[in-house]
Amino acid sequence: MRIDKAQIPGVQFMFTVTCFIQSSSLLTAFLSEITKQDSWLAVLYRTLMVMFPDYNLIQILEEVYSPVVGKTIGISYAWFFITLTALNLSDMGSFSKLTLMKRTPDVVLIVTCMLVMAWAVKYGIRLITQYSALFVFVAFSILIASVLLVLNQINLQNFLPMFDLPAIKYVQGTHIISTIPFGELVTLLMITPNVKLTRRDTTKYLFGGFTLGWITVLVVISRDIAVLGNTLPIFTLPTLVTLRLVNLGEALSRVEILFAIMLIMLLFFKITFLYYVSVITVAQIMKTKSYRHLILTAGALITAYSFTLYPSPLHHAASAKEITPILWTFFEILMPLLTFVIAKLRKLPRGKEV
Amino acid sequence: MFFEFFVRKIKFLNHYRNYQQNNTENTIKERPIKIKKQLRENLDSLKTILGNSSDLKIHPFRFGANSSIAGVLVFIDGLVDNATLTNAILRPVQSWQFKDNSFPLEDELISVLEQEALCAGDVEIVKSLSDVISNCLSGNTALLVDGCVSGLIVNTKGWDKRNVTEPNSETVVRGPREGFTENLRTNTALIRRKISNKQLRVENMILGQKTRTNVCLMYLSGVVNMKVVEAVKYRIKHMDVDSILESGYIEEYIEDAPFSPFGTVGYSEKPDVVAARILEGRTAIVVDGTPFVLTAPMLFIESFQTAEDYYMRPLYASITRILRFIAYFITVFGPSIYIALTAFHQELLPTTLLFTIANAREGTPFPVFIEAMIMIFAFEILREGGIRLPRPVGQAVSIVGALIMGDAAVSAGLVGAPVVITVAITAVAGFLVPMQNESGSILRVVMMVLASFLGWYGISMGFLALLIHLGSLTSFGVPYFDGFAWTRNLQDSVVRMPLWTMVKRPKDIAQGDTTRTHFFIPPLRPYETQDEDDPEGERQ
Amino acid sequence: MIPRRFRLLAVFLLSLLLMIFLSGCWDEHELHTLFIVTGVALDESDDPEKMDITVQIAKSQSKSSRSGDTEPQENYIILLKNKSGTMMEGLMEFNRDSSRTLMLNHNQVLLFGSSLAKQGIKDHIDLFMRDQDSRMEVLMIVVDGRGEEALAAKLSQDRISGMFISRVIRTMSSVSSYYQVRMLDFVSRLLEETTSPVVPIVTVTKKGKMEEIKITGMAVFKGDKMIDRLSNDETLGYIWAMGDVKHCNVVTSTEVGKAVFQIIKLDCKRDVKIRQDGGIGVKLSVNTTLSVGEISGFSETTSEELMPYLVKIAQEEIKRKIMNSFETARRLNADIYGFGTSVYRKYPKEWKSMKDSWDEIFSDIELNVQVKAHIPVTGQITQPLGIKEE
Repeated sequence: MRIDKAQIPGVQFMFTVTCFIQSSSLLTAFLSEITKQDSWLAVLYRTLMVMFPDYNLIQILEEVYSPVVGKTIGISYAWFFITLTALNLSDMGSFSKLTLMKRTPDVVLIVTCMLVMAWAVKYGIRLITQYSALFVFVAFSILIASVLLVLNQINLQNFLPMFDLPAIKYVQGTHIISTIPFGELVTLLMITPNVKLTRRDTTKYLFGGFTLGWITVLVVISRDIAVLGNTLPIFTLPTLVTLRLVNLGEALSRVEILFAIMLIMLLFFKITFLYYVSVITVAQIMKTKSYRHLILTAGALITAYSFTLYPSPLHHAASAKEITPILWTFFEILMPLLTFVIAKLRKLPRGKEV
Repeated sequence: MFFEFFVRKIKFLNHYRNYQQNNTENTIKERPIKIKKQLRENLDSLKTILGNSSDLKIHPFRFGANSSIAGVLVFIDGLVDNATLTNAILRPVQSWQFKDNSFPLEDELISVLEQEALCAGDVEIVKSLSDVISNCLSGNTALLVDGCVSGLIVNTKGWDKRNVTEPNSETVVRGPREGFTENLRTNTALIRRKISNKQLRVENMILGQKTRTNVCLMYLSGVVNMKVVEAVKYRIKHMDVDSILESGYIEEYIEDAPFSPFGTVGYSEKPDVVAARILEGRTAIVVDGTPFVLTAPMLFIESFQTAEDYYMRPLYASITRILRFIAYFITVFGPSIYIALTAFHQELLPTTLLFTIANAREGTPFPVFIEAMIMIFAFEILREGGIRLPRPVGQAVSIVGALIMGDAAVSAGLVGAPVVITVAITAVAGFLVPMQNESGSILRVVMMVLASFLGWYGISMGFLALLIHLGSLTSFGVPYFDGFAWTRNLQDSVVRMPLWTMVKRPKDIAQGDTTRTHFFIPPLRPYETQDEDDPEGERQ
Repeated sequence: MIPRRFRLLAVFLLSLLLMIFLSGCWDEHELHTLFIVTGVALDESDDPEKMDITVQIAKSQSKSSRSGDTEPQENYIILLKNKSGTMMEGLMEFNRDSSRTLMLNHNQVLLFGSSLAKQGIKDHIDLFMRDQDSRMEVLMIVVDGRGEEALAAKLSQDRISGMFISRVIRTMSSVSSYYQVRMLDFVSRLLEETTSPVVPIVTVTKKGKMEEIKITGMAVFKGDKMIDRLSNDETLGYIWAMGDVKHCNVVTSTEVGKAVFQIIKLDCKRDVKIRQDGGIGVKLSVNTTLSVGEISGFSETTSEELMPYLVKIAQEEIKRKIMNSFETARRLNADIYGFGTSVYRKYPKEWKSMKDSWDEIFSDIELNVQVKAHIPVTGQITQPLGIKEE
């Protein structure tokens, strides 16, 4: 049963992936080394997408496990998606409040955002993803512009010394990076039926988007380290500080407006996408044909949820470093891996050519 | 309560829409009156129906020299061309020599008249008085012969019409300067001259119960998407109106999103523009009585394309097109960005600029939002007044506008100079994209309101809401704005690529033949001779 | 009558709209309700618990109030003074007592009186780092004397002294970026634990009716307390040792003649090595391109010998200045060059044991300076007037 009948062309899919990962490049408040080992996650998702081209995630779960067990796991995934949406929404509210509107209550910022997003979700996946190319293009231009503008303040010495941290920090860093930005790609499994591609094309586009996003995160972190040096860990939003330091002549200063643009655009895209996926997941579990009437209800729930998640931003940051990656590993890595293994053992999909 | 009023209106609109859908084509629900044998009876009916109008002329004649066959010419003075009347009808008919002096019988009389006597090219036989009346009202002449139950209609249309001149609304530096006129046949002829192709179809309809306006649909069969043509025809047939005075009437009834600030049906006053659109697979709707021809479907990007873009060289055309995009952005977001920066986010301005603006703000009494609204209001008044006023007064108004409203207001300290400059640039930028003038004005004010409430965050939310709205609009099934999503070829969107790269027609508009040309490479340079084995230059 | 649910829906929608539209105004500050702060000065106060805070505000000129040609200084700036324990309390008191809100976004300079600097400034700058409004590119300056004198100075060149100081420093930073110490650089050096930050020092002198502000060297900090200052000459040596200098002058004077060179480009590479006995050896290789600015004298030299001689004296002068500055730093036991960080970057493992005894190691550093100068152009004339032809 297909809930949303729109089809997305392959290139849009690639930009969707890129946009998704790029929006996580704003949250790099921790020092970590990026390694290429996270690309095996992409391989895992691609395999699942290709094996079940017409089913979204919940349907895969019901098919691979029995319907009852599948539904239970599906409900936990619904919780996962809703929590992701609420987390990102509270992030957006607190970032906007911190940088743009300092005295306005968060409620206003978040509710306004949710209203616009609910309107976008009403029109379906085609509308949500059709602007991904535009957002990616703008984000890349801002990225390149910001690198060029801080060139005169880059001190390459700031990269030394390398590999000085104890080994456990590396594992933690890699783990954080792999679960928070890249692991959230598991949400793509929910829109598999909307992306009609051959096996080679899926690989090409998924990896293409993955690479572009990975490049963005790498460039952002390198630029911040180069400019800020050893002061990086004391700032909550290092990208903002880097952009504030731009000073070419007296006119070209104070370009943190670029940061605000990028922040709102990318986070908007990501949250709308997650919102849509949450609504679709719930609709799929309850087997309703149309998800329209669920939108506002889910929106209200997510808004209220985002306010009650954490008592303070400090808790949020601490949990993002320690608790959340471990919890997300279950959803993002273990479950898909297990599903893949069981599907192969049961020789699913039946009767379909690979 | 207060909402009862709105609820009642919405219920009424709903009810009316249901009523409309059950309605069939708007045909005239009169019973046709037959032509009777007695000429006098016919004339009496005519006079009664048309109410003794003083411009209804009834001229008796005799068919044939020395004959006793009586006939009557019925026409409306002012609509007919007197020369044609005399030379094509009266002279040959009144001096007709019947063969062998035998007078034909009644049935053959009309056919003799039609095929042998008359010297006119466009002759038709009618059997009912209603047809006679409607043809007379269109400017044709009716011949009624005593004793015949059919009449003849001769095309003698000739009223005073405007010459083909350069249109006022779309002037070009380079390109044809013909513009449509108010005459339907002239307009279709102008389009025919641009596309002399056997696939060009012209379908006529009569709309409007009271005005009976002629409307023509023109399209290129084989290229056009027939579903769009069917949709256009369906929507036009379900229009239950009593008058069509301008193509704007039709536009309001057939457009996809009546409540959106963006129009989904395009219009133009120049034949080369309309011809180019027909060639891409669109349908043109030509309306009698107006020089503005509609084209359906319309995309957002079309408002940024002018005819001149394609006649100039690609580099300059691309630069101008990018300038237009920037101008539209400025006109929609200009004042709101100014408000957001000076009232909410002063840290984003460079220090010296901030001092300048602070000095300008120092003595002024109103908040920035009110200042900007005052200036925009003043500009709109000037603009509207400039269209309506007679020419001799024009100079005075421009002096009043520029000096008094701008300069004096700043000197008196009512508004700050930066606000005046911002609004002036905004207003002028709005003229670069004339087709989106209305949407620009409305959106400008909406963005200003949002900016004054929520600053930069408000503008961002407004921008995203605008993107969502644009993305959801479709024009006759074609997506209105694809947001550079690479779903269709981009050779003509942000920049205008050279014409030899535009190999295919846009897929979602043209369904038939999508190939324009076969080559992709630029044409041979003139001093290179043609290769014997490779005459088309494909091997470079 | 409209059913109840429509009414509830209408009320809900209306309240939603009102909430969205009316609460954004909390953030709206019209420009005429703000004071634009261009300079903040912190001084020692008679009360040992408190300090004196002075804030310089640029006053907006409205068109109607402009009158006459000679405008007194008071028309352009406003000075607010306060006594309080911490920066935050001070700001709160300012905001409470003034008609407009203070806006720190455009603050150009942060001035410290020299007596306050000697007591330590780390606690006072916490607000500037934490508050979202102030920026990390605020320039840190120490004033010889009291900070508020610099803010109250009537200058003949510029109306607002805060802007004047920041412009002067930014001009000098085109010579070398080490003249300009932003809050970010200061904090970065503090975090390095062994580096001593340096901050430019300005002096306010009276000249007739007007005052003059001049940059007279650098203040050396140990930790966050100021210990001493470098003179202008020693500052030059410091700048040259850090490298990346353009458009500076080298003045040489020998018995044979005087020559002034202009540095087109000066780079300094440093190489740290750990000696056998655990100490540090630093080798500074200076590579510079000079152009001859002015020559006077040299009447005894032939034109052939002139060029190599000029190169030699330039090299000697540069080396001498660098060694001078280093001796001063060694005397103060302040690692202003950041040698410790260089050691850390090259030998991270050994650094852990050396970190604590850095003071002794620093005083024991072996410095080896090698200068290589290259003079491609001599200006429009090739030899000075009066030189003997061969």
